[in-house]
Amino acid sequence: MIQIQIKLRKKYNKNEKETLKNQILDEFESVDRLRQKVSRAGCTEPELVDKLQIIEYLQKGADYKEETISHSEKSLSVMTHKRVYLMEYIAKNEVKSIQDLANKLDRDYKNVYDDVKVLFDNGLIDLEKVGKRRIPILTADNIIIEF
Amino acid sequence: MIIEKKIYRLRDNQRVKSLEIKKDKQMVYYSYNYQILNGSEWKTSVRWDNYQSQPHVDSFDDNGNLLDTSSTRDKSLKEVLELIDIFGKNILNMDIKKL
Repeated sequence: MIQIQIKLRKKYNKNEKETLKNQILDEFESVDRLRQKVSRAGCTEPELVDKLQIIEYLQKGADYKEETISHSEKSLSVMTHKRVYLMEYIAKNEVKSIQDLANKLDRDYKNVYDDVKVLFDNGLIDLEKVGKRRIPILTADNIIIEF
Repeated sequence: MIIEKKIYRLRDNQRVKSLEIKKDKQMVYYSYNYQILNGSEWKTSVRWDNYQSQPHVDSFDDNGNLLDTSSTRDKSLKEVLELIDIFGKNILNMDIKKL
């Protein structure tokens, strides 16, 4: 049986690392406040422990990489030509909303919405919430298919 | 120094989310979270981490409430993936600290 892996890789640049740091600081006001919460919550809120580690090491200048590995062949089967083109488009162009993406691709909104949802459900893109809009963004610099 | 976050989607409703921090190629922090999709939210069922250099394993109920925490030996991501591959959701019925 052929084992297929799809890998989405992203290495954060300086600005993206700053944004990540600011997101954590906005949520907890300061690293000290987060440290206090971790100290109180201990193992009951493991996400806080991870966030504390991330921000402490980002502040020390660490690099940050993300990788999503899917073993599901379903992820591969959803990558039709139009969806791959959609992913390529949002990787290379600024898109303000799903409607904006549909306009720029000159495609029907409903079809683009459905494609975005399928790609999102399979972890191939992310949707960033800005006000009432949902902005489709690519979560990777590289998409690798391995056998 | 490098922070590496990895998500292994094993099945549609199961994944392992890992965070590894390495300094001069030495692991200084890790957490490996076996998560199950509950509605539209990923909930951690079992978690191994070495916070404050104390390797331990935690288990949680369906609502994310801590059920148990035990000291264990250090785990690698490879070991965790193998355990999940072998036991799947049944890992919750095992004596996790001894695995």
